[in-house]
Amino acid sequence: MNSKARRCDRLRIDEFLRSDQIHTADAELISHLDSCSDCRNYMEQQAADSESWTRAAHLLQEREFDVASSMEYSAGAIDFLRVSIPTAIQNILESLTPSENPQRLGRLDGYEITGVVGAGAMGVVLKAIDPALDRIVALKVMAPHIASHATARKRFAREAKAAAAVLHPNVIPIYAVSSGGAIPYLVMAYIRGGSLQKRIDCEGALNTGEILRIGSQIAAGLAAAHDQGLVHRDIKPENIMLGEGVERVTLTDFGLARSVDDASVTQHGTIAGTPQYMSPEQARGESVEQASDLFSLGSVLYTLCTGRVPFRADSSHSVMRKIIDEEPVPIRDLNPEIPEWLCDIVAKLMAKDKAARFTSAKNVHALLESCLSHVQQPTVIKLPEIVRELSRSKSTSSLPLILGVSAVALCSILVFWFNGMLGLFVQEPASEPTPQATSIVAQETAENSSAEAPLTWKALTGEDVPENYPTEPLQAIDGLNKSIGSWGFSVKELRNGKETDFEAVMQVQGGFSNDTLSLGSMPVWQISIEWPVNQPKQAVNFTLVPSSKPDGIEWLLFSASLSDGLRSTGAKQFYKGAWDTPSRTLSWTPKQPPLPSAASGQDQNVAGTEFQMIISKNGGLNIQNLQLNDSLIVSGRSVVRIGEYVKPVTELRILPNGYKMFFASSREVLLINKDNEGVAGARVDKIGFSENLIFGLITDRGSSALNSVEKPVDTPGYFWLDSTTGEITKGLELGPWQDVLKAKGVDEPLLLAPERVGPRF
Amino acid sequence: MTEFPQTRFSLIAQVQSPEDREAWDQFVLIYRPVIYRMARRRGMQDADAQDLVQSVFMRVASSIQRWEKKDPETKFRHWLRRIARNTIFSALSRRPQDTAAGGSEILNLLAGQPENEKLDEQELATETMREQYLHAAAVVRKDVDPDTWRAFELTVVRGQSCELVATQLGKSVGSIYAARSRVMRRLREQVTCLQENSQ
Repeated sequence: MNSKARRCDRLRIDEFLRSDQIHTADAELISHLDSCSDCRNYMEQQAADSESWTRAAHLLQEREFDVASSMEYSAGAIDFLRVSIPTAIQNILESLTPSENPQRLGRLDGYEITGVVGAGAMGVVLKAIDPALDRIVALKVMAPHIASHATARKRFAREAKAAAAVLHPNVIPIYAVSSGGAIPYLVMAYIRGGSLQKRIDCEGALNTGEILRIGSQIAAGLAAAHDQGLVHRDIKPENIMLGEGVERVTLTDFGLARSVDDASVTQHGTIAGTPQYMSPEQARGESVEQASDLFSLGSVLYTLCTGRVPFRADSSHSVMRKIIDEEPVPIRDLNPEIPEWLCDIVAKLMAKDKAARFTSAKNVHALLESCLSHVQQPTVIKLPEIVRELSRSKSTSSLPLILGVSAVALCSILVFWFNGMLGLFVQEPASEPTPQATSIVAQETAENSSAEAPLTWKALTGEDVPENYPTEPLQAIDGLNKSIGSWGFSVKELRNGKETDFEAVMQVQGGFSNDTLSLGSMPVWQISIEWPVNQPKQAVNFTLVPSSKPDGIEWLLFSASLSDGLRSTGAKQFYKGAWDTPSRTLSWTPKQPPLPSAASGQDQNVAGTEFQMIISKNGGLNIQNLQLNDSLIVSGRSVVRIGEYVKPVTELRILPNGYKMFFASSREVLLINKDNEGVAGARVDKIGFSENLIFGLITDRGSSALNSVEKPVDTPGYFWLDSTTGEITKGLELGPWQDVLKAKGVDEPLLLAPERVGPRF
Repeated sequence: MTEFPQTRFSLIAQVQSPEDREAWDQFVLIYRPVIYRMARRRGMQDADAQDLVQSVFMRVASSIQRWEKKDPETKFRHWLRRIARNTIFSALSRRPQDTAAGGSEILNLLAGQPENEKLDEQELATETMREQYLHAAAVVRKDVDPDTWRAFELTVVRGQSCELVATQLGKSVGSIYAARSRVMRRLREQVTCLQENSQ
């Protein structure tokens, strides 16, 4: 080593820091810094004062509300935090064995990891060298936190099996699988090049020849998968790779693929991934067939023709509703250069009725191939006869397009929504479940529930209707109409439907049309619907809750909010009628087998087979039949009344000492004792517990909203609750949190991470 | 960068000097998330907090005319900052009746207590600075190569040791120190620049 590198040279450090070329390397200086702590210190002092260092460390931490529901409200945080290296990548890189070669990121079994290709929901794709064969491969590695879930592992193994079964030039080759180790991964061919999505992002719409070339290859890959009895289920531009310099299109990510006869894995209707390319039957939660892939292929082709996705909306829910209900904007309105016949092909692929699509991927492949030949040699080769027939038949049949929301479609949305709620109860069963018990496909749930006896209040709650329940829902409507008069429409009527007690009918006047809205017949206790209003993209969202009257259920408007397509521009809540009643009892009986109890202090989404929750007027909460040590994530749509707020409930936690902690959306926690009495409430920053004590840390004010419980804790500082005596001690000193706990004789308190206590919406 | 339709295209059109327009844009950029977070922290739900942000900007924007007439001496951005401060505090303590279901109880309490105002003041200052740091970090991050950024992020923000990060990234310890100092210097420069514009 050069002896110069061993000398301290402050001027050189200054120059290094000042250099505008931040990539300039000063190898000698850097190697000197390896060992000289004086120079390191000097350099750090010169870079910034110590206060700036501390501030950077402190202020750049991610906090609550950084990633809010609406992106534009946290521009700085989004720019910085969202694009920061996902924890998943970091976790995986940290778990690698160090490599002997410092150029490499690490080692996984025999593979030398050289880079990160990308990251997805399930894990990370790494670029690696397979030393045995000296070739570059891609390792799809499952994120460690996901690898601990049995179902996720199963899905991973399934992907490997599914994809490995298909040998076709347009399907990514799988070389090997390792699913038994700590980090499951699969070894795939490394494709140099980008995804189709990347190409669309750069170029927008493609020309007809390219569309046909890419489309026919996707169809060929699909045909090969379909031959093996597989349905891909997630065809979208991100999953289609374009080789660099070669004209080959490769289908990847069989993560959601499953064979048609394999019914055991899909458990609930929760949606994986983006719904933009989903088929209507997928969006409805119905069984997915090979024809669904054809619809997705149609959506991909639409995107290639126009440069934008066919169905656009702000939320997954709205996208799915559009997929079910609406026809996309005609391709030629957006790109007149696309020939009419190609639009017809895309339209047939994207037929809402799966029977109206092409019969197989193989046919689509052949068709697109011959169309491509036609485009390349228009004078020599004619368009295939099928295509010409398509445009002839089109003039005779036009699709009845109903503006607004059809009852059928709405039902299915509700099914989905309801099922999402149920999904909370069925996450990750650890034991091998019986197929019958776990195949809770959305549709089945709907059938089960509608097949049951009429759902009256008594059937729902097991109780007689409380005397002072409101029976006049129209009052709420009047109040609503008064405050939303300026929104350009009004609610005329809200009543029960004829079919069951749970069917509601809502008549809305204004907006695009005066219409009657049937709300379906789902046993959910809160329904959310969207209604288009006057301007494009503007919609109002109603939330309804069932109340009761002596002979059944009455619907009450709970809230209404207006949005302009980007964010909410107004919100009104009308919960009083429903919530000023003395108590309200709801009970669920999940149709799933009981799940194993969580170990003490572990948060698993575990529920007993049945529980009952009573929210009473004074803010107290009564929970029955929940097992000790169980922790249950309550649906985000559940609400609790805290002071004057109605809060979404985020979590309910049963502590080893029999106390229950009940979390609302803004870090409010209610503590419920063994006798199910509300004993304390606070807005906490951190909370922990030991056998007989519950600790809370409050750094914020605002807990007075909780004074409807017996003992609000509303002063910044610590508090602890002795669960043997029920006594609450308030500590005002703001010393380090851990020291206070140590003084109380607790070594390892369980602290809830901020996102646990204050989830984001 | 951030769009704010009504104010930007009508009221703000009255601001003549380009320098002042830039000051307004900076102001919206930094203060919008700041107000939003302060509102959320006070228990407002998403929609309410967004409404409040909007009302603050509307009120500030509608005062602009007054400024141009009465206050030719004061710098626009200084004026903006002062008026924003007052508007934010009054908006946070006096939520409009029609925005939501409740919460007046707590806010009435807040409104009456001077020591809370001091805390609010402090929170506003911290939040503003935090937003400036976040913005600066986003800018610097785009300038440097990913490993340089990671060296900074992992050691400074996530508090890992330089030795550990060096092994992880396959770099020498010295290069980790060098990288993070360079990032820190840039970051400080960016922050200073943002602060000069908004203070």
